[in-house]
Amino acid sequence: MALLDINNLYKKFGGLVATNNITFSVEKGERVGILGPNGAGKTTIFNQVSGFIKPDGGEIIFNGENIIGKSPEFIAKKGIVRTFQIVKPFKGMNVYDNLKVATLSPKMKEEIKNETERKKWIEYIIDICELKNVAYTMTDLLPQGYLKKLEVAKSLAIKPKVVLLDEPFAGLTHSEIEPISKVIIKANEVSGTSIVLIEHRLKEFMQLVERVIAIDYGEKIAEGTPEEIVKNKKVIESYLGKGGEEIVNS
Amino acid sequence: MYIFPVFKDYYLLNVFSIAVIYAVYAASWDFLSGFTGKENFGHAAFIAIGGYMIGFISSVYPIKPFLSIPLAAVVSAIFGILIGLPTLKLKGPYFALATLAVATIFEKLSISLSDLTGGEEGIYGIEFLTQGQISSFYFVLTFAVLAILIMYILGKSNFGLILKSLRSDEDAARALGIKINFYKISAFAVSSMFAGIAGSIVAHFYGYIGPDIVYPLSLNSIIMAVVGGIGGIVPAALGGFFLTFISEMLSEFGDWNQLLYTVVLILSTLFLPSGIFNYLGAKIRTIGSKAGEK
Repeated sequence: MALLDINNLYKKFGGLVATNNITFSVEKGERVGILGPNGAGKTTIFNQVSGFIKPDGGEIIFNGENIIGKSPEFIAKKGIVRTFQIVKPFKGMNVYDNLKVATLSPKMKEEIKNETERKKWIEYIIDICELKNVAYTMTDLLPQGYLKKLEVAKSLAIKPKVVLLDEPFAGLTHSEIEPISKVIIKANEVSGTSIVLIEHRLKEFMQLVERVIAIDYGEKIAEGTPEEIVKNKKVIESYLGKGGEEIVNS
Repeated sequence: MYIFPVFKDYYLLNVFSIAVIYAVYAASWDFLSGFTGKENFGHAAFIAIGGYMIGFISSVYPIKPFLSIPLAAVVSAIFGILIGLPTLKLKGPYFALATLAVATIFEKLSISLSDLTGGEEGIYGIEFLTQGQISSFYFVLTFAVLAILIMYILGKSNFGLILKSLRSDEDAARALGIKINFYKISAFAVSSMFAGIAGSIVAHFYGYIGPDIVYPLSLNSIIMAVVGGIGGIVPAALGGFFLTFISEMLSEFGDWNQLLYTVVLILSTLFLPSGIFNYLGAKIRTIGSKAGEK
């Protein structure tokens, strides 16, 4: 049994079926990507798995427990954390305090026993996420690249078992992407955190993930390794267009 | 501990006492609204709970402050939780409107249920806070310092940090697993508790509770806190203190002194949107750090 099993996830918004019986699983320590055109239902999957939207049907089995329809607070405590496409830093406080809020969540309250440990943990996160030079800068003053990093840092600060990253590279230059990409790999390799990634930056996406789930119009159209996916006819038709292979091999 | 105020007459002492209580009103408004961003437009309802409850009890039994203060604390905190449970789910202007409605209902009730509340006249004959003016002043001052200190410490604590995180994004906090409803309700309870205690102390201070000293405070608490500066308790409290003090000193101009509130509000939102005392605090800190570098 996988760490996270999603079975026949179904959600309808009025007449639109946003996720139509989507089934996939995420193993412990795996890096999975979700690929699809805009409006395919990628973020809706994240919203359902993280509890922000109640699914209409299906199962979400995490660690052997069905967490479907539970609150975001409950799911985060279990160890699934999501980031947002549009960054959501806590404004009016600095980077350090942003991460401190994460350490005050119920999940970390159990693990961190005192303020010294808390400080150490926050500093560790700041260190691996390369936020040291802005640690005491108000988030209101930070450029997008740092805010994107902070978004990932906040999610890692609660020691999650699964991180759902919603377009962490969107709007960034290549040089800004690299450090975030490194952080994601580091979290994955060092702590065995499973990563589920939505991203339109194909080159970085394909390099980062080990397995891809391609969806379109709310349905899973393909699943496989990045190499298999770029050759898949359905994926090429719906998303990659001709020359998809070149992107990956470049 | 306190520097004895060299007041030549009791009038000034009176003004001082009232200003100190109003500082608590502004600070308690800040604790909920300044921290979590849930703008409470009906703060007077929570002040009324404390004040009127003492009034009701006094009409049958001459309750003393040492009993009425803990009573007001408990009742208004519970009331805050009861109002908070349904309303804190509302977002933005809807929360503001709901709290405005609560205060409006209270105001209408205190006028129309005149058998109980004395209507426009209010309730007289409440036990005085203490026997003398000076001792009353010290009582009020001690309470205010304690109340503001407690809220300040809570605000600086991890609890306060979480409240501040809710201000910019509740969803971001939920995604991390933070039980946002618990924190919002707790903030509401603390804010309401201190407003209620202050209301009961005002009732004892004047020996009177009536609509005229309660209901203008929904708006005035907001103005005092915003002018002083939100999100730090002390700036809001200072805003409450100075605005009340100045407006009382100008009371001989009659209704014109009400203009002061609005003029100060407009000027401060235009030129010092973060609040007068937040601005001054930041200035002092930069000067301090520059001096430290030397």
